[in-house]
Amino acid sequence: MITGLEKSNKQDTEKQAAEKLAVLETEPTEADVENLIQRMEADISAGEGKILESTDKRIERAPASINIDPEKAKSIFATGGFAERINALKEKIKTLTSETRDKIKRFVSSEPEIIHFKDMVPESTPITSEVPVKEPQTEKQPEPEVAQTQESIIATEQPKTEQEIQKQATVEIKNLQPKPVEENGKDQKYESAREYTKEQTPEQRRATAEKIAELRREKFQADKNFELVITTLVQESIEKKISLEETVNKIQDSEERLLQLKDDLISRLVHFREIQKLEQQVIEQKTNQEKFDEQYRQTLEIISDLKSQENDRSKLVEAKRLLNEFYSDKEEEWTNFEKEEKQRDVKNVLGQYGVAMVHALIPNGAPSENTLLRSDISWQEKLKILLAFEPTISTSTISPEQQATWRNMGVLLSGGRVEVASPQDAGTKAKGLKEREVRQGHFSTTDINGQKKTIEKQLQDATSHRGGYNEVVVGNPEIAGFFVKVNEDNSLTELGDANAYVSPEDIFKTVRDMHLPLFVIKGGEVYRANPDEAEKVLDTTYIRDKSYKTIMKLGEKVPPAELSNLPTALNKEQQDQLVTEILDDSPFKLSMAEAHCTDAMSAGRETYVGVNFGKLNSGENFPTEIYQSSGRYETMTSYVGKEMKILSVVKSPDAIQRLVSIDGKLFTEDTNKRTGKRNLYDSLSEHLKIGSIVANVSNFFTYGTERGKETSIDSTTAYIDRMKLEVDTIKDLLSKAEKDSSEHRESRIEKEKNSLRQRAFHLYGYADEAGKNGDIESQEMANHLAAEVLPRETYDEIVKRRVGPNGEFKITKEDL
Amino acid sequence: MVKEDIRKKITELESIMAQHKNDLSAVEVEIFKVISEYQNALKEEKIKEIKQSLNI
Repeated sequence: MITGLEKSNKQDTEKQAAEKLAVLETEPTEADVENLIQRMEADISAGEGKILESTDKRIERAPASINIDPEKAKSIFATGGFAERINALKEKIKTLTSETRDKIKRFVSSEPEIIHFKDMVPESTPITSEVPVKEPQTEKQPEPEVAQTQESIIATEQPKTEQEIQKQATVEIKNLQPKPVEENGKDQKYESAREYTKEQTPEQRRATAEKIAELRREKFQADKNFELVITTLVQESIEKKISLEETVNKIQDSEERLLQLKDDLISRLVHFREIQKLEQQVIEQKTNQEKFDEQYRQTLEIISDLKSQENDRSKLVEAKRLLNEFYSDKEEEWTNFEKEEKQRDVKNVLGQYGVAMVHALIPNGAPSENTLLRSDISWQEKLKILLAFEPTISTSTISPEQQATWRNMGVLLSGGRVEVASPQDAGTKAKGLKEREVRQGHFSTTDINGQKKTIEKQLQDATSHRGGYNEVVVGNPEIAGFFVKVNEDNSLTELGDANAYVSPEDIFKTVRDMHLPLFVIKGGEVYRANPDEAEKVLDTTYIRDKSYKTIMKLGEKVPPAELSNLPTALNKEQQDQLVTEILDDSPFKLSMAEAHCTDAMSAGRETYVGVNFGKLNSGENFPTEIYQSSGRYETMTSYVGKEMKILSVVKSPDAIQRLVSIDGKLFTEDTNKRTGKRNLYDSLSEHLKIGSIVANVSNFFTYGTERGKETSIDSTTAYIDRMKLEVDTIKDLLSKAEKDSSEHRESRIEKEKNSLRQRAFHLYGYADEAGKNGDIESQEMANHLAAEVLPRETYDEIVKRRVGPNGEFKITKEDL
Repeated sequence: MVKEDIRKKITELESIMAQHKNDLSAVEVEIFKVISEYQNALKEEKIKEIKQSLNI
């Protein structure tokens, strides 16, 4: 922008340069200096006047150029801060002028130039040697906080993209949540209804957010269209109005002129052509006027229609309603949920109902239907699982009025969440580590009117029940320690049952090994106890434990209200250690395809020894011991004391099997890894000889054998032939399954694939055992057939991942 | 006064004047800006009036 002054400066500079050149070229005199000073003085005055004058003119002309009321413009000039700023600038011009004049004066009088202090300090610094007096400042009022109401949020700038719409809808849900009431302390599970809905009702929350986003999207699209059209139309309407007014003016002018021209006959005659032309013009202008008028009217109508659309806030109102409805419902739900969570909290239950809560352990095994655990599991293993995984468990509440428990030993709880409570045994069944289901017919959570019983009511019924033990299912149990129940004389109640008696020493050793606090329950009350202070007393009436009984010394009583304060028995590190230990040697019932494969591998190794028994002479000799035996297997008492030659050791998840030769016959000595029980049986070689379908081989020689016409598997060739028949038959079945178009297709395919894979593992197991015994030919034959079904690498990878050094089957948390 | 002094004086006076004009020019630009803002404010007001008259 070139200002007027700049323009004039440029012209002046050129002119002065020429004069200067002339002066300097000639001999300058003092008169020239005088002239120059006078001219400068004139220029300074003119410059000042010019700027001030042009400023005033511009300000004055502004309203007219925009066609706005001068009074209104004046008001805007004053209130908009413009007057103030202009005046300040005018003042600055005056100051500059005055300063320049001073400089010239000083220069003329040849006074040495006084360097003002002012020139040495930055412009913004106050020019004073005194301490600047701080002007009283009005304390700045804080900006009023705009409460972000639902209305204001909805009315905020429209989002531009789909993601932004979705995000904004989510933000609205986030922002518009009802604030938690103050009394809801931090012991709540959720901080807000928003947190509650996120976790407890995610589907409903998502559905509501989607509905709101959709409504906003519709509104956004309408607004976007409106914005685009309205801008154009407003412009058009203004232009049309101007055209219309111009046309009207033109018509008026033309008509006035016509009136003048038609005033008398002479004029009419003289101006005949002009009149004709003007009349034609008026007709055309009137047509134009009508056209512009119509267009203007139409434009206004369109604008009016659009305006009504803009005002249609129904979609936003609906969005707001949905949001309000969602949160008003959820707030109530959340409040109830929090209330119920407090009622479910074991820590509250203990004090409120004056009870202790215990989970009893049966000494050995587990009720097959109620648990995920293998039936041969020991109570120590169950204890470890409880401590490691904190699974959902069945407990009973006990008190002096309600002393019954399922068994007389187990764990004492200090926390957890009550899932369901029943006055009697509810017969719940584990569905997973963290879930138990109430079996049909055992227990109902509805009352006689069909109304769902609240957890409060369930707990009231359960804890007021007198008689047998009740059942309270507890999730994420916090375990404070181990408990045993004692009799009136403080002697340990007989623990376990006829088949599995647990000695006090077993318990003491376990709690010591696992660093668990020990508690004694007597008369429905809990006492601390120390295993080292138990006393053994001879008692001829006491039939167990070699005729003495153990008297517990009762420590400090722990009232129910204090049970919740007991620390958990294990810390996180100890817990993690237990988890690893358990997963590496799973006590869980497994029906996993890979578990069946590793079983097949063990069976394959066993089969090699059975088939090649006559050739195997290596191995250590041991005297045959007494073995327990049960079921259909013959007790091998007649072999006691005879020499036993160990041919191979096969480790499986459950047992260690030693394939032994006694008196030239092949036996399997099976030691259960958990119970330590041993069995000796001679099944393998006999069964292999006749190829019958029993025991370990039953799963792997299924096809092509008619009962009674079985052929002996007495060589690797016979084994391979039989396995080939198995493999080919299963391949046929797989091919048929693949052609199946029924809904069972996938499951059939899966079954046949698993069958094939098991045969491969059997063959690889056979090959491995052959290799171990230096039988390369058998090894190669078995490997070759196995590889037709499953690559060796896959087999090796699965074995490495799943099988531990002692034949354990490794599982992961995910498997569970 | 020697000629050289006179020449020097003239040059210095011219320098004072040039500086003055530059300073004035800067202030004039500031004034232009303020007037331009004022005009914009008036235009906005005018648009408001038009919109009102069109009932928008």
